[in-house]
Order: sequence, then structure tokens, then C-alpha cells
Amino acid sequence: MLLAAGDALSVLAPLAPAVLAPVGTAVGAIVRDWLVRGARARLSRADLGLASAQVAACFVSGLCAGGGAVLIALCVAGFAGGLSTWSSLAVECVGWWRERRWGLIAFHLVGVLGLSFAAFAAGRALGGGAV
Amino acid sequence: MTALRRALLIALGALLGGLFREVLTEFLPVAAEDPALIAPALLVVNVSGSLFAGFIRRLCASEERKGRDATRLEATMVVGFCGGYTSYSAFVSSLHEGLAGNQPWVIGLAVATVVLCPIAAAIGMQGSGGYPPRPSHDSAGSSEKAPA
Repeated sequence: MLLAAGDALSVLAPLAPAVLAPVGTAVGAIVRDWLVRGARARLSRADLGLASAQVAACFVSGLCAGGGAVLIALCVAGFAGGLSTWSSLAVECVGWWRERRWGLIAFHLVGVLGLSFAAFAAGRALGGGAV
Repeated sequence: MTALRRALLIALGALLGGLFREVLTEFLPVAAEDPALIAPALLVVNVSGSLFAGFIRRLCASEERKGRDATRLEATMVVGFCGGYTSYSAFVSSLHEGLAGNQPWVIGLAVATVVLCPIAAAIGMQGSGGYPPRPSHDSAGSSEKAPA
């Protein structure tokens, strides 16, 4: 009986990321929404909430990248993947483009990308991975 | 809509989006026995997610203009599904690994992502009736003006 249960678990083990990553993604998406809505309410700048979510996600991703399969599935593919997003940024870029707000586009597509890259590298260094 | 209900809708959408992304960017490249496919798969995910987000965002704007409440649709599909399906951190991670591994083609994929995602969102908006009448720069992730 126990042997059969052990066999079943070993068969299911490769499927763990498929379960953990979506769960982490759901938590990350809720935190992202909270950051965006918080930035909109306090600073009237929802895009700063989005930027902070992107940078934080990259830091978490770098920090946990050197971990085990479970940590990577839950925190890297899951939480960081859900906390960060390309789709909202892309939609906002269309609005900024229509308003000719080139500074905002440059800030998000170049500045935030640079910050996110640095945050990922810092996370990797802190987490013990190679930079 | 209460904050709890909104969080549940976002979680539901993100759960599905995260599962789709995991299948496309992790399981398919592994099944194809070619891990080099992960970065191109991520490009496909981010571009298609941006296309879909543009489509739904414009649809929500149309519904709101007609006086219908589209906050549930937007929370589930734009913030949840599309937000969970696409990933900025995976894009940055892929770029970092590519540069560290001296893979110049990864830079090409990064440039393609930065250029194609906004274009895809614009095409998605056109697909559901054109650009919104009012730019949505103040509404990243949600069209609501204040927290629920």
C-alpha cells in the first residue's frame, strides 16, 4: 500500500511545477493589483505601481533562481511571473503613444528595464548565484 | 465589487494564465527536448498575451461606455489572466542568462519583445473596435479609479 502510494507520488512529482507555478502566479497577480491600486490612490500614478511590481518581481526572481525545483516553480515561475506583466505595460504604452508621452515610454521601456535587470542581478548575487 | 471578490477573480484568471504560460514556456520546450526554445516560447507568450489584453481592454472600455459594468471582466481577464500569462521577470531573467551565456540572439528576442508587445496590444485594441477614446495611462492593471 505504502509502496503504491510512493510510486504514485514519484509519478506526480514532475507535475508539481504545473500546480505550484499557477498558485504562485495567482498570489503575485493579487500583490501586483494591490501595488497598482495603491500607487494610483496615493500618488495618482498607477504606472509607478506597475514599475515597482516589475522591479520587485525581478529581484525575487534573481533571489530564488538558484533554489530547488519547488522554490523555482513557486517563486520564480509563479510569484514573480504573476507579480510582473508584459500585457499591462504593452496596453499602457499604447495609451502613452497616443498621448505622445515619450518620456513615460522611455522611462518604462528603458529605465525600468535597466532597473529590473539590476534588481535581477542583485537578487542573483544575494541568493548565491552567479551575476 | 468588494476587494475580496476582486482578489478572487484576479486569482482565478492568474491561475489559468500561469498554467498556460508554464505549459508553453516550460513543458513544451522540455517535451521537444530543446531548452533553447524557452526564450522564443516566452516571446510568443508575451506578444500573444499583449494582443489579448489589448482586445479585452478595448472591449471593457466599450462596455463601460454603454453603461455596463466591466470591472469583473477586466479583473479576471486583463489583470488576472493576461497579467499571469505574460511575464516581465521571465523576460529579464532570459535576457540576463542570454547575456551571461554570450548568446547574442537573446538580445534580438528582447528587442523583438519590447517592440512587438505594444504593437500587439494596439492590434488587439483595433480588433475589438479601435483605440479607447481616452488613453488609459492612469489605469495600469485596472480601469477603476479607486481601490474597492
